[in-house]
This record gives sequence, C-alpha cells and structure tokens, in this order.
Amino acid sequence: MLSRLALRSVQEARPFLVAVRPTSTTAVNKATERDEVNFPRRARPVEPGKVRMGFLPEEWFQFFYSKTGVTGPYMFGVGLTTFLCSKEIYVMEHEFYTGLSIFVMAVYAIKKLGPGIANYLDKEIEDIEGSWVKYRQESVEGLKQAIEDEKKAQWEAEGQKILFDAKRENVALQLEAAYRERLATVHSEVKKRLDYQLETANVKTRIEQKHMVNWIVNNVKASITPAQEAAALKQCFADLKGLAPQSA
Amino acid sequence: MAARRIASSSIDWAAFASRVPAGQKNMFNAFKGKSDAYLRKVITLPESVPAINFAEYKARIPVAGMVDTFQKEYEALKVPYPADTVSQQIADVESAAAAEVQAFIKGSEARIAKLTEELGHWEAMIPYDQMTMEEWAEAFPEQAISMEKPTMWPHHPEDQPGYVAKEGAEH
Repeated sequence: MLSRLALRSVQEARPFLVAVRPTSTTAVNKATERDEVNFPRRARPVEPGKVRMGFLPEEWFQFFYSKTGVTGPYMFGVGLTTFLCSKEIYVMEHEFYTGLSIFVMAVYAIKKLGPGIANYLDKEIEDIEGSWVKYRQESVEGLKQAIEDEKKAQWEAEGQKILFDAKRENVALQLEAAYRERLATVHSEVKKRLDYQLETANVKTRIEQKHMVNWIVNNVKASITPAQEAAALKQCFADLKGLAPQSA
Repeated sequence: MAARRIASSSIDWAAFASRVPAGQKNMFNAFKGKSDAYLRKVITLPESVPAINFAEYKARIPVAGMVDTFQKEYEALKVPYPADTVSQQIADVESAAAAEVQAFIKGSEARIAKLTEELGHWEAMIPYDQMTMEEWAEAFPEQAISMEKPTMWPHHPEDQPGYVAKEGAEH
C-alpha cells in the first residue's frame, strides 16, 4: 500500500499498554528540556496528507518538479506502467480484472460514504480530545479559584480585629448608658422630694384659706341679731316699694 | 480611672460587614442589633445632669434652709462612673482569637502553596496533541505503567488487590 512509509516513520495510535520507564526519580518536567528551535514538536496532524489522484503523495510530485517540471512525474508514471505491462513484468491476469472492478466499486463507495464517515470519526475525536482539554482547563480554573478563595478567607479572618474593637465599644456604650441613667435617677429623686415639699406647702395654704373664709362667714352670720334682721327686712321692703312702678 | 465618655459609634460597620464570611452573616446581624440597641439607649438619655430651678422652690417652700441645703448638695454632687469589669476578659479572648487566626492563616498559606504547585504543574504542561506517550507518562506518573508498581490483569483499579471502594461508588 503506497503510503508515507517510504519517507518517514509511522506514528500510529499506540495501544494503551505502553511500558514507560521514568529515567529520573525527581519530578523534572522533561518537556522543558527539549530544544524547541532545532527539534520543534510535531503536533498531531488534523488533515490527511495531500494526495493526487487519490493515492499518490504530493511529495513525490514535488520531488520531481525541480528536475522535470510539472509533467515529469506523470511521464514517469506512464513510462513505468508501459514498461511493466509491455514486458509482462506486471501480468494482467484474471485477478487483475477482478481488482479493477473492485477498484471501481471502491472508488464509488469512498466518494459516496467517505465524507460522512470522516465527519463522524472527526467528531468522535473532537469529543474525546475536547474532554481532556476541558478537564485541564477546569483544573486550572478550579485551582486558581481555590487560591483566590483561600486569600479571601485570610482577609476575612483578619477582620476579627474590628470585631474586638466593636466589643470594646459596646462595653463603653453600656457603661455610658449606666452613667447617664444614674444622673437621671439623681435628678428625678431630688426633684421628687422638692416637689413633695412644694405640694404640701400648697395644700396647707389652700386649707388655711378655706378655713379662714368659712370661719369669717360663719361668724358674720352668727352676729346678725333678730332686731337687725327685722330692720334689714323692713329696709328691703321699703326699697322694693320704691323700686316698684307707681301703679294705682 | 478616667471616664472615657462616648456618644456615638466609631466603628466602620460597612467595612466590618464586608469582612464577614457568608456563613456568619446571621451572627453578625445579631451582634449589630445588640450594638445598635446600646447606642440607642445612650443617645436617648441626656448627657449631663438636668438643671433644677431652685429659685422657684425657694420662694414657695416654707421649710427653713431645706432648699438651700438641697441646692448646695445638688451642685456638689459627683456621680461615679461605672467600673469596667469585662475589658480584661475581652483582651484575653482577643489574644486567643488572634492566635487562632494566625494558625488559620498559616494553614491557609500551606494550602495555597500546595495549590500553586499543582497550578504550576498544569501550566507547565505542553498541549496534549504535542505530547508523546513518554511525555504523557511524565506528566501523569500515577496513571502510567511503572515497573516499580505493576498492576494485575485486567489492570482496572477495582481489580487490584488492596482496593478499597469509595463510598457511594457506581457499580
């Protein structure tokens, strides 16, 4: 099968069981020791190699180009085929014609089904590789987030100092409140006593006044004799008669 | 001791609140409520002794000399400031808490160092599609085959001797 076996070694997907012997016991990242300038890393190729006519590698045509131009490889191919067929070095026998028919069917099948299967397989590879890459990205982000969270937790823990300042302030506030309460108590007690004295003095004055008034009135009433009463009544009648209108 | 008179809060509650971790918000709110109650009490009470109008009383009260005595004593009165008995306790608790915080910060720093190391390991890794299987084995040594610790067929973790299933693991 024509392939690039002629030009470079194949790097197929190795099976999982790869025996690897770490050559050092320290956690040295050998990847960093590579000379990237002279020996650049080969990335996994995404597209298949360029071919002409479905199976002839492009590199062969490039190889001929400098010496024979564009038509060189084709002429070489035609000449070689003619030589092989005419000299019967390549015998066209029954199996050849079978192979030819199969070849035609194969070309038809590949043209029809090839792209579909290729897309499907590419998607599968994308999924697998994508999941690895995603795991890597998520690990990195998770670690960064964890570092951030730790730093934040440290910063928060340092806020304890404010807590204790607040506690001391609370104690001071409570003491201040108690002091002010004491002042208020003193004031109210003194005021109560003074008010009491004031009230008793007021009550005493009021009672004396009332008593005096009553006593005076009673005495005056008692000192009115019957003769005085009769004379007063007569005087009242005379006044009334004088006030009454002169009626016939 | 000299009385430290205080009439308002000197704590930056906004800065304090921003430092409270999410799980302790309730405790912070309760604490703030108590502090606010103390402050309210201080503010509603008058700051110094209210004055009493002795002249008016002197005119009305007949008891000889009583108002004068009262006035003299009232003016001369010094109300003692309450003694502070808990500051020492606060200082003790504070120093214990400071020690705890230091221990926590040290543990946190150790964790950060470990995380940073892991982060460095991930970031120094080359992209997967440039790795060879050997480089993969160097990047993930615990997943690669090693001659020092060979695994038994069929090489699944749960088929190895001494395997302990994780709690709640799938079948």
